[in-house]
Amino acid sequence: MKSRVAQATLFAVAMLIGLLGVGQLNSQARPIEISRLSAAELSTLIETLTARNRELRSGLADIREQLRQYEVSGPQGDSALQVSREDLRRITAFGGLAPVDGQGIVMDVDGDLDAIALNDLVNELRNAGAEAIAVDGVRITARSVAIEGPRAIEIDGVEVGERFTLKAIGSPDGLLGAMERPGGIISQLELFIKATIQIRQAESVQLPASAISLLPVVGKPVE
Amino acid sequence: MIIEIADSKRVIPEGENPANYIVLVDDLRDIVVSLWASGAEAITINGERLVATSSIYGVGASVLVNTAFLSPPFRIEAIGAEGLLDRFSTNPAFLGRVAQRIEVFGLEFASQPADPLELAAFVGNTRFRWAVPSEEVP
Repeated sequence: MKSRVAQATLFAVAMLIGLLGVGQLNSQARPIEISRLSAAELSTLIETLTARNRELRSGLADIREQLRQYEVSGPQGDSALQVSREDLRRITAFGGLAPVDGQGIVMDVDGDLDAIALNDLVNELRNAGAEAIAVDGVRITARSVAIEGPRAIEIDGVEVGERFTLKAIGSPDGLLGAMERPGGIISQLELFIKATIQIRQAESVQLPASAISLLPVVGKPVE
Repeated sequence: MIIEIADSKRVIPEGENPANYIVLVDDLRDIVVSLWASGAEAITINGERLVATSSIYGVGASVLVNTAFLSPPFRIEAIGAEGLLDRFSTNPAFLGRVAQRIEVFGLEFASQPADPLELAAFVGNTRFRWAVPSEEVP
């Protein structure tokens, strides 16, 4: 069992490390025409690029440290296994399959939002750097989307009522600022859907693991 | 399955909003929502793999997905069980807005099943700065 866990972890991590060599801010097709952006768009672009660059630099430093750990612990089976367990724990939590805790924000929403609006809220939080999100206790994974159910909005088969709580882990200031920016998602929802949204920072936001299985039925990992 | 969507090549009638004739970020989001709701197991947009933290965000005329700025034409690839294309084509999230825009404004759109299909892995940071996993993996 230990060797399988280590192998699975090392495989997953090796895939990650192997691909990071080409991971960088890249631009496909035509470049952005800066001169045509409005002041608000420029502001958003600057904030987004700054956040993305910070993430990439942090990720690069972490991976270099990880490589160093593997090099040091290579000959030592138990140490390598410990490193692998930590990586598996992190990757599992990143995918939404393990509970997480951390600083963030809590949003209490009261309004007749439709599925599009709820998906837009989640998208805004992701863009603002949310590392983990849950809606009324439903952990948001890559596959989690709000759809119009027969009676109410549903996420992963769970109904979401007109009043719901959305929690996100990430920079409290960053998340709050992104949500509350003038003309942003919250002001739009309050204006067009007459929703009431109360948002607060929180020292400890606890999010459960997803209840759905992410095991692919058709897809297979490529080595 | 593979979806390709690009800006309309129609001549824009005088007085009409040119923005109606280009692929908007909402179009991509609706397509992605439709795919996930139809049972897709993995999705890429122009090679960018979507994960739990991926956003699809409009910045000027470009679309930011993960750390990549993308421009049309957009190629969306998805892996899922047999019948994914049929389920996607009839999904309300696709039919609600983007399908109508394709028809009304002539956005270039094509979809086809594909087998086999290999999707690139996510290229980005999976390390948390704020979140802490709160239990051991068994």
